[in-house]
Amino acid sequence: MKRWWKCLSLKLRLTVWFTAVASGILLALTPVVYGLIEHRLHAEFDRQLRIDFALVEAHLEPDPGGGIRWRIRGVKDDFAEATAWFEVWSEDQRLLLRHWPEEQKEPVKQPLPPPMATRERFYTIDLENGLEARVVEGLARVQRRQVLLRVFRDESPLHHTLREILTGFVLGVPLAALLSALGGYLMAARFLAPVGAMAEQARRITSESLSQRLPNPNPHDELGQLATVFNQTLQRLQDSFDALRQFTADASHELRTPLTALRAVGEVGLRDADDAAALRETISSMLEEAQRLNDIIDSLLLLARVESGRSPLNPEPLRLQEMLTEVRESVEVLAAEKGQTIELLAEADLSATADRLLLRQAVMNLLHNAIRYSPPGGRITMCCFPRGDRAVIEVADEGPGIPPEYHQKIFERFFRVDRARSRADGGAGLGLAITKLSVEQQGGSIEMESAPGKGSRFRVILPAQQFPS
Amino acid sequence: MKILIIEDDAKTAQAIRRGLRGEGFETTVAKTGEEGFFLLSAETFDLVVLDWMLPGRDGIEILKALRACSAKPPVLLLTARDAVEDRVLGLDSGADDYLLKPFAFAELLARIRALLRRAGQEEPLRKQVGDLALDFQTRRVSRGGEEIALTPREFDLLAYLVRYQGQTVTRQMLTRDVWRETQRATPLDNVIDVHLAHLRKKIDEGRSARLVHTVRGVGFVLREETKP
Repeated sequence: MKRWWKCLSLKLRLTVWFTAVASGILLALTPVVYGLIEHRLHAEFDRQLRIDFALVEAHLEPDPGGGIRWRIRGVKDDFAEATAWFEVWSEDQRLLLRHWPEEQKEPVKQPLPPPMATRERFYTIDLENGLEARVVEGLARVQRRQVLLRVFRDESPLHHTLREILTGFVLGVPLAALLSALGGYLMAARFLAPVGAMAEQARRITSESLSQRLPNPNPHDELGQLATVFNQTLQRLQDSFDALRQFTADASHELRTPLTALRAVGEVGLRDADDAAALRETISSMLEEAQRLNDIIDSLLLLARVESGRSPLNPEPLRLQEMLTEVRESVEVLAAEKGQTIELLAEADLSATADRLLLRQAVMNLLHNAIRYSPPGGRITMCCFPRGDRAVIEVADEGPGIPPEYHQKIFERFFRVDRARSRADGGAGLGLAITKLSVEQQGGSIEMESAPGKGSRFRVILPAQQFPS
Repeated sequence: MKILIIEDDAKTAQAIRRGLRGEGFETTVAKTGEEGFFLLSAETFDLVVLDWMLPGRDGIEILKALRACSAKPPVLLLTARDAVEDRVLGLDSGADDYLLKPFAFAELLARIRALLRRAGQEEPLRKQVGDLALDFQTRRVSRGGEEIALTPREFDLLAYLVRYQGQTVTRQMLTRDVWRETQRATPLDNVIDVHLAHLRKKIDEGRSARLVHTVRGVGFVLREETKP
């Protein structure tokens, strides 16, 4: 049952729904409306009958023979003469006068019993010809004499009207349903037309044409919002495709550089292969380049693994002071070589939740950079402090600082402010990218403050961890 | 000592073979899993260097089949897969050690020696290289009877070099075994170089014979200088 329903197009389904609801409402409403009309017409009919009663009563008068006669005073009314239909009975239940319409001779199926004198009464009787008549009876006064008056009125005009109304309904409801189906279909088609256009356009967008966008004539309605969201997704896709392209270009450049050196050194070395010392030099140089290639690939693999989220993170509570001391000890010797001092200001109780290896590596990268870019004899400061429910690790140096135009770029892969210099140091420009990514993968963030000539200040912000004291 | 090398890349196999021969090992190369398995059932080897990714039967299948046989030479598994699960799978299948491609030959050699030595050899408490004496227990070092003061890190470094005396150790080995850093991309090379420079200064400066040598592009080696 569900299956065929799902096979229908949305347009058709909307139409079916619309029609079903409209028909349902019409079908439910029709009997109610008909009932109301019928009731109203009957009430009106009875009111008319009561007027007839009053009219007939007004024109009765006693005749000299002790009976009652009907006489229309004033203007002679042929119509009333022709249609008036009533009986007058005396209080002791004798028929005094009977008058009926000209075309209806003795129309009553069964002669009615004399009326009862108690109170006014309405009822319906069957006639000879299958029709019905409405009757009212009650006390009437003819001058000083009290009589019983019974007035009839043919119901067929009422029935005729009701039948017409019913016919109207029977024909009108299906027609209305049909019209609502048509209207619903046209409306659905009109509103859903942009969906088709969007689908058509989306189908044409491939990785090569990611710059295209969906048409969006009205950004305020639901379809417009859909198009907006879709376009935003496309924008993000395009951005990441661009980043990927950029990355591929950069990576191949970075990998080609040592490869080029490898080939050049190898080929040239082959020319003077007779000199054992030169050959040794050549091979050593080639091995160095191979090692450099290896390092770049290791860094790229690490990046890819952290990025894919495949590398299992082991977030654990870490005492930051301990970790910073450890990191400082392992690289302090480099600073000492340059006569630099590393100052460590750490709050003893501060802890953060992070993956030990990744965080260590991140801090080590920052410290490495600080040592690399600080002048000999400079001072490097490491500290950690709480900030709200976060723990902050800061590494500050007295290096040349980073020009503002590079502030965003330094976290990009392979970006180096000074290419020539970094290459001599063996850096591939991946350290900060790895640092940023691994901090972010642990729910942290990284920020930087730097100005030319004023040194740089990097901050790693992590979720803090409270140790039970 | 007979070593079987099962490796499908001809260049790598040839390089390993030549290197091991140079170190005095007898070597046989098999290019496919089937060939290796056939050789293993026909001859006895002291050690197997096994590549994981092989055409036909791969390294893990060979390992499993090998473990079902009676002869059980130690197996060193070579692979480019470095996910932790792969490492576990390799060791679970019966490999005795696991070496990641690309590797330095020096490291391969060190591992092969370690595997061959494993059978019950105890580390000595003291060791002597030329006139350099090292006491692993008291962590004291002297050269020509003269005591040399080393930092703990320098001692560990020297101890490692002495343990692999005559063999080249790579920075990667030092990073992993002395600095105990498991992340491959951690930049410790500069740190190692500085420590080694310090160590060299303390051990070799002012002596007639140098003990610590740099092998460019590979690593370091501790040996008595043999004047040609």
